[in-house]
Amino acid sequence: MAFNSLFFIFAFLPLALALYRYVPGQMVKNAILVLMGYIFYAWANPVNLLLIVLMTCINFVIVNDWENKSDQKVTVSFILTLILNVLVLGMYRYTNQFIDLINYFFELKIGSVELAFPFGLSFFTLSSISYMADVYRGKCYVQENLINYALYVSFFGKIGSGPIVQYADTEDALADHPMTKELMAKGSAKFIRGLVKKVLLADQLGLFVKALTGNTTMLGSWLMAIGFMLQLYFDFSGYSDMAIGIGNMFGFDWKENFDHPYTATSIREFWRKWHISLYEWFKDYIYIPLGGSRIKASLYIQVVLLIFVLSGIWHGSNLTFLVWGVYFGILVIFERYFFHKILDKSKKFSHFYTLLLVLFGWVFFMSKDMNAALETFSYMFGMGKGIADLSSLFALRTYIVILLLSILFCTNFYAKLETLIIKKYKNKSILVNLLLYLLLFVVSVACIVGSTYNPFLYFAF
Amino acid sequence: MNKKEEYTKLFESFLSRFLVILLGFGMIINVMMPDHKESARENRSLQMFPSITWSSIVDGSFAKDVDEWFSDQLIGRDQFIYVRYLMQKFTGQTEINDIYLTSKGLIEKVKEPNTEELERNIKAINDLYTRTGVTTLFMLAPNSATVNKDKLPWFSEGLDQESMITEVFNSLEDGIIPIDVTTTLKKHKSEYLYYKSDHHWTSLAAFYALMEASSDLGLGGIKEENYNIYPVTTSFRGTLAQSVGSLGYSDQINIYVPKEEPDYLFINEGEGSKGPSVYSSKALEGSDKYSVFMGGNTSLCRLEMNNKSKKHLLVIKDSYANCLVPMLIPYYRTITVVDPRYYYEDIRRVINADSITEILYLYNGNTFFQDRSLADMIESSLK
Repeated sequence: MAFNSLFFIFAFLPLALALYRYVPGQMVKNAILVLMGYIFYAWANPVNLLLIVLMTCINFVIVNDWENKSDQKVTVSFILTLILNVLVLGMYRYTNQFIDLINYFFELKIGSVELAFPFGLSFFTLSSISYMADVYRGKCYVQENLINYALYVSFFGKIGSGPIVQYADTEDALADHPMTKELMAKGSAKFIRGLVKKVLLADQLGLFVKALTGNTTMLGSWLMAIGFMLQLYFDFSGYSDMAIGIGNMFGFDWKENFDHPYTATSIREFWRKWHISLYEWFKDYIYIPLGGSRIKASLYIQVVLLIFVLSGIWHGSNLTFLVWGVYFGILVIFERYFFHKILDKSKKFSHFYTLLLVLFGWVFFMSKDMNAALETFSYMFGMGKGIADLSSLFALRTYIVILLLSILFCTNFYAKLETLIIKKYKNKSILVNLLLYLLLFVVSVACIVGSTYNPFLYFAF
Repeated sequence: MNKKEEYTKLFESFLSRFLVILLGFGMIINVMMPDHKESARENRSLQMFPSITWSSIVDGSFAKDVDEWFSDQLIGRDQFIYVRYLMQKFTGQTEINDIYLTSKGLIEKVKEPNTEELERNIKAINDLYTRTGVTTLFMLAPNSATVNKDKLPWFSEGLDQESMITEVFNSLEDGIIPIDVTTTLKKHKSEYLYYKSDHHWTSLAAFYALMEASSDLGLGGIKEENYNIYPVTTSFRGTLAQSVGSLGYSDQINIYVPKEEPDYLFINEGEGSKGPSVYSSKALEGSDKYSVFMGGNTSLCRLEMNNKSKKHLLVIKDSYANCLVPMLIPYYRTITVVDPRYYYEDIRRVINADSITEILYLYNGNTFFQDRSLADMIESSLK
């Protein structure tokens, strides 16, 4: 199930809210949320739910047993459980790549296996590791309540696409997260903002990118890459906003997952603003345990590269993701040791530099393989079919409003607009904003309905 | 707390109340309201609540059907679709689902030819002509995107349908008479030649085409005065409007009834019906109002006229012919109309049985260049 499906918006979410509001006792409320999380998860592929339930139970039982073990045994248990979780993720993501490698080195002909990647497993695994690591490091107590633990890893608001809330940050809330008016209010606005980003911007940008797919002119390939850059941001940040908003509605108050990343003036700043929960996860569970920024340069370089390689292969199993990770790792290292003095001189230049290099990074990310990525680069630098053609100009003309709006909303324009509305309309701004949000909600729903519009017209031809 | 925070909190608080009411109300009303089996607007059956079986739950089809059921049965679905269309229009989109939004109304893009099938179709037409020797004419009507090229949005990349039509004409056997109506229609392009909401040409365009074809068909001078023109509806909302989700376009359908029309019998063999009129007034009550002409598309129908003509016409066609065929009534003893998309019998038997003296192929470019049935029909009869 997806947050931007009509069934979720008009059936699943209100039902979950009503149940959560009216059933008595936090434990029963949590049990309801776990059950709803499992229905949400199992919606498209119920078989995968077995894996989630099994891994939840295994992790819960193992960590619970740590209380009765010596430190040494806990360490061994922690490492083995960590390996188990990573192996399960790796099995689904990399089995075929592994088979290819074996075939290549040992000249075998083992056939590939069909293993559909379970929805949300990457996020589930990082959450599970966060719990184990936080308990292992003594940052948190062992969670003795299976329902609370299951809620942490399987809450429907975050099981599919995050944010990767660290266990230590939500430990207290798991036992007590009442639905409050303040959080409900905050969450409602956040949910609508996310829906608008996803449906009105990202999905429209998706059509723009689709219209330019296969275009080999310079203009077409640049526009496609820029379109993808914007689409990815609004898609992911929109979905994250909806997730955080849903969390708010059910009494959780999670941190922001995106902070206008395309306003960054360095790659390092970009990574502090993009998918913040993943950045924090890598920082807290890999970077800092390996020494943080105080280690010597050679080790620092290795750690940074390791983190970006892990980030790349976490995102996907294609070589392009690995290259994408290494590319950003190298940029971060170069910035720390060489570029920072140049970047400090001009904000405009450093902003342009960041946008350009991030854009190049997304070309790897969006391409199905390295050949496709290199081809796109060659078109971007004029080695395709000329500078522009009618189809690239037509796509630009058709989606220019969406593009401009998207670029505006990448900045803090919306916050400024809100301030302006409040200054201008004072207390009437409440009504203005209310109407604006409700209108945007209706238009977003209309777009979702429209995407399922499928008239049968053959009869008339 | 500063004023901004105060106002924001108040606004969010009101918003959450509205949202809860909207979602709650949306859930209750959508679950409570009875389901509809059909959508008149989308012309398809709607998903009903699926039956629950263990296998459908495990393979995920139950969830898929529930999603579809909910979205198909959503209250206000048609209005939401229109809102989406308005949003697309106001954000400057000039093309939706391969349809251009222009000052001339909705215009369907020129479709890519299916080269392999096109070659087969042309060969089949040539073979049938060679084998039967019956006088053959070929009218290939351009689509609105070709006639109204100057009205298309800037930078729209249209295929050159005019050259495609010329190429088809050049590939025909020497004896087959091509009827080029593109030049004529272009001359009248400021007139109401294509429906604003539909992919068909209007009766006026068909009439201009007939005037152009009249000498090749041996009909003498055809004039507008020979016909009574009756508007039969002003609320025709065609396939293009349905496809983009617009409610704003509506068209007028005119019928051209010959002033000196003989008595005739219209036999719709595909539907198994016969009657004294080629027009279906019942169609004007439904969503497919273009079916007023000959009751819509059918495999084979015949018009038998009470006149002294010795000409027997076979029209092999798509739906563009439906509004033109009634104009031909006074000039033929019989007219047999075959739509190869629905006709699977031996066409040569029809030619012999109906003593056909002329064959007219009448297609519009978009259908003909993608047609997959004409060659099958002819080839099977030539075996």
